[in-house]
Parts: sequence; structure tokens; C-alpha cells
Amino acid sequence: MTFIRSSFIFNSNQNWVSFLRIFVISLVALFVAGYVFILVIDPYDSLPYSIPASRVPVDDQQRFFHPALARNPDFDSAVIGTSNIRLLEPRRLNELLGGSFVNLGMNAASAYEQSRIFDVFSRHHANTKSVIFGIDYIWCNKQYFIKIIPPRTVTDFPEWMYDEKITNDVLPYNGRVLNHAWRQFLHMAKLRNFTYGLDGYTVFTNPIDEYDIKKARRNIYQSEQPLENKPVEPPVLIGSDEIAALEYPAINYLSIMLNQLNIETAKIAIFVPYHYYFQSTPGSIEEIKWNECKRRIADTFHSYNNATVLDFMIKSGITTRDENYWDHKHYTEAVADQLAELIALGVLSNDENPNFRRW
Amino acid sequence: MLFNSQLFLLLFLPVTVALYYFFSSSERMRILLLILASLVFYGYWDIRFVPLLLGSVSFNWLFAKFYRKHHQKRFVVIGVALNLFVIGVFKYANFFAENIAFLTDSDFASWNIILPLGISFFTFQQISYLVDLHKGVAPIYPPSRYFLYVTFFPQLIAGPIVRHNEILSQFALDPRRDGMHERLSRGVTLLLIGLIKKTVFADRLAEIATPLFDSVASGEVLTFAESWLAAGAYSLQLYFDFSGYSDMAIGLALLFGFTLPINFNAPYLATSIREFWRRWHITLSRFLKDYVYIPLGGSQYGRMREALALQVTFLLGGLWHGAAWTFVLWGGLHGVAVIVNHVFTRASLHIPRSVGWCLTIVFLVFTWVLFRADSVATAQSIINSMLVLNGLSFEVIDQPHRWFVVLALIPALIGPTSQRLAHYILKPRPIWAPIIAVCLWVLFLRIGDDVYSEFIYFQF
Repeated sequence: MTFIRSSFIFNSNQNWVSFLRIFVISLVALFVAGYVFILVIDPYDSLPYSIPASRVPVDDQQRFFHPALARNPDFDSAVIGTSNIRLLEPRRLNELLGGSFVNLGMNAASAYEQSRIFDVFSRHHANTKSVIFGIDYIWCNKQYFIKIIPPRTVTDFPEWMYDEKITNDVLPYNGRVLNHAWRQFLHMAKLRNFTYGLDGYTVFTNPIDEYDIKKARRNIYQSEQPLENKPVEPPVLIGSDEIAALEYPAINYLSIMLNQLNIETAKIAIFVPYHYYFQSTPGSIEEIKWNECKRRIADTFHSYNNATVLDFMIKSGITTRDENYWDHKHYTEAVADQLAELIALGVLSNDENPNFRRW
Repeated sequence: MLFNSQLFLLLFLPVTVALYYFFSSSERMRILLLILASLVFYGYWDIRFVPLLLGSVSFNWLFAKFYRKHHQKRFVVIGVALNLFVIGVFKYANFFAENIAFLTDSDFASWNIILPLGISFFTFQQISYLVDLHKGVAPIYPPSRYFLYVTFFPQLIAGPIVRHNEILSQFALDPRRDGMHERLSRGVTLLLIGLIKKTVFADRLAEIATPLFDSVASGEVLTFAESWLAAGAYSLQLYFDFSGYSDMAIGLALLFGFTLPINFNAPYLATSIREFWRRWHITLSRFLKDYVYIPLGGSQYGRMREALALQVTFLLGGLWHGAAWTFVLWGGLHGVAVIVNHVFTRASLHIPRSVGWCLTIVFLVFTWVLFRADSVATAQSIINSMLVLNGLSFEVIDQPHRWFVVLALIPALIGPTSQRLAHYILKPRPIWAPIIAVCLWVLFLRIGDDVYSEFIYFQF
């Protein structure tokens, strides 16, 4: 038989007594001190009783920092969506549409996650002025109708921050929360500035002077040479029964969110301006599916008062110009600025514009 | 519940240890507490498995009792057969039915049978007890001690496969006896080493190996470099994962005052395949030797019979790991390798140790591919790539952390082993105590960041 230390006798001499005592004291002290630090700092401004101090987003993990922004009474309007609308700058939207916007876009947020952050905003803003919903693949592709989209996992979405229960607001004790508490402490002590906007707006793309059209084209086309989004010939035709049978389960979440808004609230849906090469190929089955999805989303919005549906996911001057994009989905700051102006045009007037289609 | 979870480390373990020492003066209370804790630990995964575990333990104890009372061999035979039947239903029913359907060219839809965790381990443990009882080398233990012997949570799910005579007598020992402070200190150190092996090494290596194996399973073909990276990363992942689990199990048992047999002893330093099996999953090798190989005749009846016994033992060992042809093939290849090893040794054909080491490692890396692959076809594709049958390309796509494999080789090949580290190198110097505490705290924080990853051997 092979036992550990089979030929040895464990002993309790004073050295081991001291060793164990120091170990236990160190371990308990570390565990307690670390957690007390997290509780005192309250990095997400989520605890009912915490020291009054300025807290800011100290990281680009929007799922952790946006709930506090969504509760902030200074805002009366919101942008909901994924990274495809994160570059919409609230300051510009305030100027163009009026109100006080917060951008609650979260990278690759599922329909569920978007509805959860909307819930927080809605609960804390009885008189919402405007909400812009960025509509992208999340809403029209059944494959992504899942609670958390991989590679993110359940630990990346702090569910407990999104409800009003105090009982589950026990801050997790892990490296991420401790790191956020430490960064928040640096902010409070004015030892470090964080550039994540207090209105949720963060330029997450590289500085424009680092823009490289070759790299952008590689991202868009998987090739340095532009390619054509050639129409399918002959175009695919499917029957109305088949179209009616298409399923877009995520749209239910849109209805749930819209139900929470007042009649007066401006409900604005924008189909985000994907690069034209990435959009569904004309004449393809994908185009049929996307058009049906757009139609159903437009119908959903128009069943409520004060709704505007603008489709930027079309062939346009914006979507066919490679220089407007970092990759197939993400446009530049300049396009975001133009997009804000076009949204205002579409909402505040009945004017048409070649860069969008009004549904 | 996983050893590498915050719930286990922050709540279950401290509470269980504290209560255990609180009741240390009463053997009865200590044993009852550990049984209860073990059932909570086991039931946390799936409460439905608890009645099966309790039923298995109760029936085996009753069979032992009947055998002792009536001295009739049939009780042992029925007991062993029932154990094999239970494991056969839960683990092998689908496998055999699928193969019968294939041979008879008929349709078969898999039965929805959930494999209870640790069934291979606790069933084998009890079979060994019944056989020992029949041999006259095992007494009838009081039911509470026997229950604890099987259910003791550190070894319940994935071993080490402990024999009754190795641990049952220890249950009577007061944990506060002389050496308590040293046992607790070394136990915590082993727990830490196991956690490091699992969370720092095994889980990172899995991030390299898993996507490569998955891509082949979905029809892609790996390049030469990718195939070796996949096989190498998995070879190391399996070692760190399982030996890490064993370290934790041994360390946890030590916290309660019990010493368990070691399960790993630097297996990748082996210079022959026979030596490898004396260093890898030692308690399983020992079990297979004593309860399969020797009853089949061992080396008592000539070379051919010995070779046959070895081959059957390794085939069953392969099948023990899982109901799939990949495991059978893996076991069969190891059986052949051990037989060849025997032939060389008997013929006094000695090869240099360095050559022996190289051959052993290459053989292991190739055969671990079978062990990991979801099908023979997947394994064949990877092995073809490793043998340059799919071309010679050194391209590796989307593996930014590939060099971690080289880093992981250092503890696997140079050591020291966890047992040596925890039991010989660790001295009661005050400086080490806070360092161990900090490491445990950091790992605790890190575990909280990730979704828990289960141990590979849980599936067996």
C-alpha cells in the first residue's frame, strides 16, 4: 500500500501550531478584508446603504455598470441595443431630439439582456420621453434567441443587479468585482480618471487616425479587394404560407418592452446600418427572412402610438462606402454622428432620405 | 458540488470541518456528520442519485452480513453480479444495445439513461469489499462505518479507489490526536496544489485542446502542428485535471485526519509503459491487478495465459472508463504495449532509459487521442494528421495561448510531485503560511470569475 507519508508520524510540535495559526489568521483576514473593501466601495452603486461617493463606470463591461446608469433620474430617454448602436452619442441626441439620453447599448446583448436593462430604466423613469431601439441580427435570427450569447456565460450577466430585490443583492466575491472595487476606489481617491462616459457613451473603436482601409476591407470582405454582394439569379421565391411560418421569437421581447412605455413616449426603431456586403444578398432566402422580420418588427412598433421605424440596413451611400466601417457591422464615429442626424430627421419630420427606408 | 467551487470552499468545507472537530470526542457523531455531509455533497448535483447510492451501499452491506451469517458463496456472487448489473444498466446498456442493433441491422433509439456520478468508483469499491470478504480478509463492519467508507465525499466521485482495510480503521481515530496541526497544514497545502493544477493548468489546457478536438468532430481536418498541439495539450490537461482532483481528495481527507493512498506519481517520467501504469491512476491499476488480472491467472500459468490475462484486464480497464469503442481500443492498445514490454524485459532486451521515455511518451500522446475523441473517426483523423498523412503544415490557427503547453510541461516533467511538495518540501516555517493563504484567496477569487468546470474523471 502506498500511503502519503506512510512511514512518517504527523506531529504537533510548536512549529506546526504556529504555522497553522498564522495560516488561519492570514486566510480569514484576507477573506474578510477583501469583502469588506468591496462592500464599502460598492463598485456598481447597487447596495441600498453605501458610502455617499461619486461612482463611475470603471470598465467597459456594460452589463455591470449600466444598471446604475439606467436608474439615474437625470435621464429621461434611452438607447437600447448592442455594440451596433453604442456609438450613438447621447449629447448629440439631446441636441437633435431633445431630452436627456443615456446609451444603454451592451456588446452582443441578447434580446433577453436588452429587455432586462430596459426594465431597469423603465422602472425608474415613469415619464420616458424617447427610446431608440437598435435592431440587428439579435432580433431576426432565431439562432441567437438564447439568454446569454456565447462566449459569454451566466457569470458575465449579473442578473441580481437587474431586479428590485434587496435580498439577492449580495455582491459576488470574485476577482472581477474586487478589481472593479479597486478601480472605483482609485476614482474616488482621484488617483485615476476613467474614460467610460457617465451617459453610457464610450468610443470603443480605435482612434480614427489608426484607421487602415486595407484592414477594414479584410474585416468586411475577408479580402483586401472589395467584393460585390451579387444578387441571386434567379431570385428565390417562397410561398406566403412558408413566409408566415417563419419564426422570430425575440420580437416578443420588443412587445414586452413597448408595453411598458407611455403613449407619449417616442418609440424609435432603427435597423442598424450594416455594411452592404454583409447585408442579405438580394434575391436570396436570407433577404426574404430579413424583410419578413423587418415587416413584423415594424408592425409591432406601429401597433403603438408615436412610433417611428427607420431602416438603415439598406443599400445606401453610408452602407456601400468601405471607409465608413471598421468591419462589417461597426461604423465609424463620423457615421454615428450622421446617423443621429438622420434619426432626428426621420422622427421629427416626414422627410425621406436615400440613407434610410421608412417602414 | 465541485471541489473547485466557491460554495464548497467557502461554506461546505469550513462548516463540515468545524463541526467535525466540534464533535471530535464522539466517534458516532463524527461518522454520522461525515455521512450526512457526503450525502449533501453528492445530492447537490442531482438529488435523484442519492437513493441509488444509499440503496447500493445498503444492499452490499446486507449481502456481506448474509454471507457472514450463512457462509454461502452465492451471496457474494449475487452481490457482485448485482453491482455489475447496476453499473451495466446505467453505463453500458446503450452501448451494448447499439452494437447489437448494428450487428443485427436493426434500428435502435438510445434510452435516456443518466449516468449517476461516481458509479464506477463506488461500485468497484464495494465489489472489492465483497471479494475480500469471500477471501476471508475482510470483516463485517458496523453499518455506519461501512456507509462512510463508500460515501466519504473526498473520494466518492472520482477516487482514489480506497480499500476498506486502508481507511475503515482510521475512522475510529480522534482527529485531535497528535499531529493534528501538521495534518491540517499539509492537507490545506495539497488542496491548494490540486486547485492550482485544475484551475491554472487543466482549464487553460482545455481551452487549447477542446476547440481542436471539437473542430475535428465537426468534420474539419487539423494541420500537422495543430494535431500535435491538440494531443499534447490534452495529455497534459488530463494529467493536471485528474491528478489535481486526487491531490484535493487526499488533502481533504487529511483535514479530517485520514490518509488516503496516492493516485499519481509523476507518470510522465515513466520510461516504460509498465512503469507508467505504476505511476498513473495507481489505485485503479491496483484494483484491476488484484480483482481482474490475478483471478484470471496472472503470471501463474505460462506466458500465453499471462498475455491473455493482461489483454483482458486492459480491455476491461478501457471499458471501465467509458462505454465506447474508443475506450476499448485505447485499453487494447495499452494491453498490447504492456505485453510487448513484458516480452522485452523477459528477453533482457534493454533499451536506454531516454529512448524508453521517448517511446512511452509518444505512445501515450497517440493513445490519449483515442481516449479524448468522441469517435474512432475523429481519433483517426487526428492521428492521420499527427502522422503527416494529411500533409505537413506548421500552421496553427486561433491558438494564441499555444505556448502554455510548453509551460505546463515544466511541472509535469520536472516536478516536484504534489506529494513531495506537500509532505517533504513544505516545512513549518512561518513565511509559508501567509503565502499559502494568499494563493488560496487568489484562486478563490479566480474560481468566482469563471463558470465551474467539471473534472474529466467525473464522467467515468
